[in-house]
Amino acid sequence: MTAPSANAPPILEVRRLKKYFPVQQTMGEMLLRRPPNYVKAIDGVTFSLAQGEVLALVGESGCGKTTIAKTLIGLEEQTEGEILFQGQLVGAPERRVRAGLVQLEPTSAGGVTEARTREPVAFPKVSMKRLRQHAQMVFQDPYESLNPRATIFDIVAEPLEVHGMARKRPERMARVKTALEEAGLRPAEDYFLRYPHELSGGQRQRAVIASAMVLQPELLIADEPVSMLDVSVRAEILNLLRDLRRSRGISLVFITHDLGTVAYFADRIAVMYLGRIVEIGPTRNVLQNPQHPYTKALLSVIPVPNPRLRRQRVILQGETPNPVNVPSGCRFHPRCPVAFDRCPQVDPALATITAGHEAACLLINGGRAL
Amino acid sequence: MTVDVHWSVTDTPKNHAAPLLSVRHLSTDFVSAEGKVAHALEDVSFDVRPGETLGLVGESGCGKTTTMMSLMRLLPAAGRITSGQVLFDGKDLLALSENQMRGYRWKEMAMVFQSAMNALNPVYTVAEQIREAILLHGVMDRSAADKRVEELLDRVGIAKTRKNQYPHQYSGGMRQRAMIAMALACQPRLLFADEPTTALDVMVQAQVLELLKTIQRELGLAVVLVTHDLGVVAEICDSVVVMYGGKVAEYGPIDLVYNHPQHPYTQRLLEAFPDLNKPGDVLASIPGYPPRLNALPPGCRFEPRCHRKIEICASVSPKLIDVSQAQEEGTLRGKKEGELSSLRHVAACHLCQGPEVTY
Repeated sequence: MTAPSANAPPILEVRRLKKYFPVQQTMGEMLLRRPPNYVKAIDGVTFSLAQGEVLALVGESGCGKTTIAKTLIGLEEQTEGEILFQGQLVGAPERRVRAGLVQLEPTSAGGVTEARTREPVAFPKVSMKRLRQHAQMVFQDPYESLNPRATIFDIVAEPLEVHGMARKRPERMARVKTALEEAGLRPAEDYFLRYPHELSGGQRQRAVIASAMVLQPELLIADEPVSMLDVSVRAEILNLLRDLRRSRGISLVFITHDLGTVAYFADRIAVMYLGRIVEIGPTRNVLQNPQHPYTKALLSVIPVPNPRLRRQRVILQGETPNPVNVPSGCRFHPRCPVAFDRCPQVDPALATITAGHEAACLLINGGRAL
Repeated sequence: MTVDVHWSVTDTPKNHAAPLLSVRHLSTDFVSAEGKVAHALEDVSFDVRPGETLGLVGESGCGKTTTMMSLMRLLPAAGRITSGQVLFDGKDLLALSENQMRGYRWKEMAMVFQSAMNALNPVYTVAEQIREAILLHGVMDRSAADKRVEELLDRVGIAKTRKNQYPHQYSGGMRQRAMIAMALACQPRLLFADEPTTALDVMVQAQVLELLKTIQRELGLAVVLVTHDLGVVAEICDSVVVMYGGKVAEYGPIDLVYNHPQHPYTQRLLEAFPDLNKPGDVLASIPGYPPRLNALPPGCRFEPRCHRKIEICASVSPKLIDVSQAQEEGTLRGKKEGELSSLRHVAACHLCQGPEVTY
């Protein structure tokens, strides 16, 4: 696998991203003016994605993976933090201004900055529509993400229409044809007039990928793209994403709960727990030299199809805590097999282990992380 | 040449634990309203011994769930078992009346269903539902049943304080635990588990598998685990049946099937599984899709997708071949002598060499 070049500017940068969802209050709580509670779905996530790189976001349900995907593509508005796409600030801060979340102040550079963000940001902004020309999403369930009443041609052509591209019919046909063929639906003409229900799960997911690729985006965000598929088909879709990445050089944020698929083609892995990244690094380092106790536990319980490899498993007790009441200190400490007295008090920051490999645990570097 | 398959030829007496469940030549059809027939199962045979965990794997639509439903005789109205025997402790379940069959369900053979959310009744508390299962089968009176419910919940790791809650108040893992508790209610000897961990996170999946394993060991249960996840099978099963298009493609001890797969389908399935230890490898994929059950290929059912097919495959359906002679002894996993190792390794493929198997 070719390593993405280190000095090219990142295609995507996420800084201190937070997304809190308010919890509906009861009438009594409202009358008593209790402060509202929040589900802290993303609680301070920072990462960047280089041009042509594949970053896997891994974690259990409720760790915030899907919320990140939705926020990246603008389906959710972040509560705090910035997303920069090719150096341009994503999102419509005006909406947040209207919601009273931030105030805008003019900067000398002619842009605006958000007063509530910690560092002034003065980037040209990119609108959601422009962003989605360049960044597209592949959803999890191909049975639900395709309009059952539209033909495959219409589904794949719709993004072109929305963005006013390839307006002439022959040109549009050609674009749709190329997209379908690239996604492995060959001959493409056979699929033009078919409806989603006429396709199998794997073919549907190919159609979803085709409609994401028809705009020739530079960034693809794939949310569990294979978890609904059978093993044999799963491999085909993974191979397809891998080929697309090679031939088109797209960058990919790949969201999954399955570390096995990650090993297959991610350059880097970010392991998430309760809205935070607890470990991030190159795939090989994270898989072969995991540092965070949560990563170690996750790796030990992945079922491996080799009966001779029944290993010592670290089975964590209980389940991920409710993200409304995040545990104090290190958020993993109530389930951590190696927690000690300082863990409930100190919230560890990401500490560097080797270049590019970081983990948030007080035990890292012999406790020197403090 | 044929070999008689009561695989006990070279084994120590301990091996002779008679199978608790013997499935022989089971075939099941589904008939549509227009009278079209789909052959969902054809000639399925396998054994499960007490204390053994058998994995039933394959892609969607290969007949895993149909097999299980046929064994429990819980097929939907369109399904009918056309031939075969299901011997439970020597008794043919298919010959029983519906009333007699009821005496077997839950008391002798219980089931953990695929989707715990849909299998539990949302308007009753968990304790009520488990108690209902106990009372319905008349094994004890109400106060004893209440005690048993607590015992069972404790056994599967659910706190007593939560027994009077409703399923929606449980997490996915807890619901699955509650389902297991319910299945154990009448002390069955055989447990069917249909994709018990499919919708769960890896960590919760590991917890539930661990629970199944412990319970199985302590109670000496025979378990049939239906799953599409080859990893899960490798973790907890002793033997495995690989199904394709309603037939057995390969069957044998887990170690032999995984490390020396003989059927091209099994080989490809295993290669299609990403390996953590070899990141970046190209994954094998199986082009095409499983056959439709109402339009099965005339020869081997895997022939249209097979990468190793020969001329005969398109016309002649392969018989089950005993392939274990070629790869005898020593390769069996470190089981103590006499444990479950009497099982032979069979595969239905024209490329396999060995004596034909008859049951």
